[in-house]
Amino acid sequence: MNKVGLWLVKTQTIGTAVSSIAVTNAFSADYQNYWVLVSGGAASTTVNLNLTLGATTTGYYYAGWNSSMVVDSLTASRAQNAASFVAAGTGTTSRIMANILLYSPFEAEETVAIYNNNISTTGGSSYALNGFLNNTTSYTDFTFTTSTGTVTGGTIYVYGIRD
Amino acid sequence: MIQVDDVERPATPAEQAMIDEIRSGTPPFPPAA
Repeated sequence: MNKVGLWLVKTQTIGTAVSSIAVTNAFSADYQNYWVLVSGGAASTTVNLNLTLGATTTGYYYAGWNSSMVVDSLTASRAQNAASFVAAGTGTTSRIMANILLYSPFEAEETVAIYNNNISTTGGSSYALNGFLNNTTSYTDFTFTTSTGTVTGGTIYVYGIRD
Repeated sequence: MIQVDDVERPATPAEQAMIDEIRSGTPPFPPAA
């Protein structure tokens, strides 16, 4: 075996009807980059899962697009100095999902986030966004906050990516 | 209710204010039909 590529750092089960889930001690000096995956569970309604790092609710910059699966629409989505990485994950009444690559959340440098997901319903949509947090803060924790409603069940997986 | 690791509890006023702030910046979903 050469090197193990991904190392499961932390697993967090999502509770019942919660509007935010904070995961502590997710990032450390052990890894520079991380993959955050969310699967299973369900939301009370169609939701975005907005990602914040630590207690920071400012300085999030991102750009990308979202597109409907039903009508031909491609909408640019961007923000400057926002309160979160919006739609870092999504949820429907059938599932919750997130697929996020985080560069350097623990380092004393800007954290970069790259994420894509979809609203998996017949009237749903697809997202591809990426951005950065405009500070040099070192983070150990992150939080998902629903755009509305709540989520129940499912699991958050945090993988460290080995150098 | 909010969750911090394995603990679920009501949000404090400060935590609810943070949630409201984060939610206020969420754009609408694209057209479904």
